[in-house]
Amino acid sequence: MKIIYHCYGGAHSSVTAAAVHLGWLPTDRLPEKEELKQIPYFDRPVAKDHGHIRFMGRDEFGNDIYIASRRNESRVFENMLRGLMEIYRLPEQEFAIIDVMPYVNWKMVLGGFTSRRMGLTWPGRSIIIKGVRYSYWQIVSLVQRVKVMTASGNRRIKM
Amino acid sequence: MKVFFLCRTGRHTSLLAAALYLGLLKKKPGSNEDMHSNDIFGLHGFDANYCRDDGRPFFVGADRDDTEVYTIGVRNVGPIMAKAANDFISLVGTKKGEWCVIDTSPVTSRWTSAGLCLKKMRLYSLARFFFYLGARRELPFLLKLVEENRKMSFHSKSA
Repeated sequence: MKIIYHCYGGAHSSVTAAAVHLGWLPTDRLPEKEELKQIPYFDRPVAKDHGHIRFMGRDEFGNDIYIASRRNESRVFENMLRGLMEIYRLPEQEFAIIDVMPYVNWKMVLGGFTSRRMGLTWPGRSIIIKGVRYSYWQIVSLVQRVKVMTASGNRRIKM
Repeated sequence: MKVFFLCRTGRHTSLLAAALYLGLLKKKPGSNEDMHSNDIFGLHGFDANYCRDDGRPFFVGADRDDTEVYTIGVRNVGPIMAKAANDFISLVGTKKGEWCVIDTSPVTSRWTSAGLCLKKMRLYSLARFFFYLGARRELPFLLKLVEENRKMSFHSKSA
């Protein structure tokens, strides 16, 4: 199965969710600054990378985990992928498309803008990390729901 | 092979490109004959309601070589959704050269954009007039774009 976490820029919330899913981040405590910085693609993609679907890793159940960025067009992105799945006759249970944007807070937005758009990495990244830590348990909860739902065969995930 | 044309709505510029690709609209390059509005508005799905279907591929037709042609409405994130579509199609194991994603949004004329604004304002007749003007402006560019891509796909097929 392929699980795609998507958000605005594919740099923070989706990357964090994918890292939690892959067990790279703890689920019993808040992650440290350095742990977040070490995640591949965390606070790295820039505007020209938007749109790409990137492979992050394979989880313990053999599911491939991907991240994607789609600016503010989550409905367009999801509709397009579901449409392409129909065209290529791919079973719906083979894919889970998860929107992580509802868990993005203003600190992540501000930090992301400062770091990625304005290029001020140092101040932006510290604001983002505060934001990620603020929403961390919500993201962990989302990932756990995704894991339960994909494991139990209930593929229609509506978050 | 499958060809996907992308534009803002999936029902204007991309549909014209798809029609040109399939030979549903015939205009010889360099000819002075104007295309009649009935030719354009007679295309199946042209200027149809699109908001709910944003992102969902719309099947336009297939040519003699079994090339299926679709349009996708991607709002104003054409280049991003083109990357996402390309990545997703390659991710599902489709061989290179068996699909083609063409973003027609750079070709969209100001007349068409103005028509979309007028349509939003419910000035439908005026919007249709603007769409016609836009289509006339776009057709030479679309012809060029379609011919270039047809050549490229022919080369990739023969390779």
